[in-house]
Amino acid sequence: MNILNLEMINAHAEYQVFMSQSGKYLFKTDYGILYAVDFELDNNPYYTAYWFNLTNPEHSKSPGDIKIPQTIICIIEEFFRLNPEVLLYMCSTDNGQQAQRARLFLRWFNGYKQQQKYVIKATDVNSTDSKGKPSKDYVALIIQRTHPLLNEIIQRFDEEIQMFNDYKPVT
Amino acid sequence: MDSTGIFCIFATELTKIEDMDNKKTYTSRSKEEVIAWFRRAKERKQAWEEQTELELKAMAEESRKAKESHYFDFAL
Repeated sequence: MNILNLEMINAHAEYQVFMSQSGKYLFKTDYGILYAVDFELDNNPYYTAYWFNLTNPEHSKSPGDIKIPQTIICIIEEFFRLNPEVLLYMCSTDNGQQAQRARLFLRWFNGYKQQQKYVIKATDVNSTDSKGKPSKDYVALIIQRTHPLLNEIIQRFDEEIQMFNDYKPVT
Repeated sequence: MDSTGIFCIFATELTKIEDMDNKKTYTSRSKEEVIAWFRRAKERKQAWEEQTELELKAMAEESRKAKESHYFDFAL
């Protein structure tokens, strides 16, 4: 993956983004909450894709802090500028709040400008939690409308997600 | 650049081409393969979150200690 240009991000981001020693993109909010963002190469056999990872270690909530989604979108925009690939996002199952997280992320990323540039496919899938109990996970695929394999990738994503609908986790 | 360096670049590029070829020729995955792929991705994400939390907490602790030592020096 091409390393993101911090100057480009910080030219537009509301929060100052910096890089940790291990290569994660970090920013601190006005309320002292530290966020970490990272991109990890996926190993699907069809196309190059990266998993988008996001966390704040305190698991603090910041309702109404619009600078957070604005900063995250700047990071994602810079990712796509330098890596015109596919981005996958899975909502953390922490505290069983993945549904709320999925809605929040989609609300962040479903602005008018984003819709013009990207196709976002989001869905929930049947899965199991760390204790093996059935659970729902929320997965999103974000792809630029200019991607040469746009239709093929979306079709493949839809087909594979469909497989989860029939999946009955063993309890 | 010496011959070892050139060889390393060549080998890396060759691996990339092979990888791309493999991706192109792959037709489809079975349901079991897809579920296993997703499970691995989920495990990696959880591991990433745990490791990141430790890393950020260590950073916060270092920062706190640095501040304390600064105040101590200042008091002296």
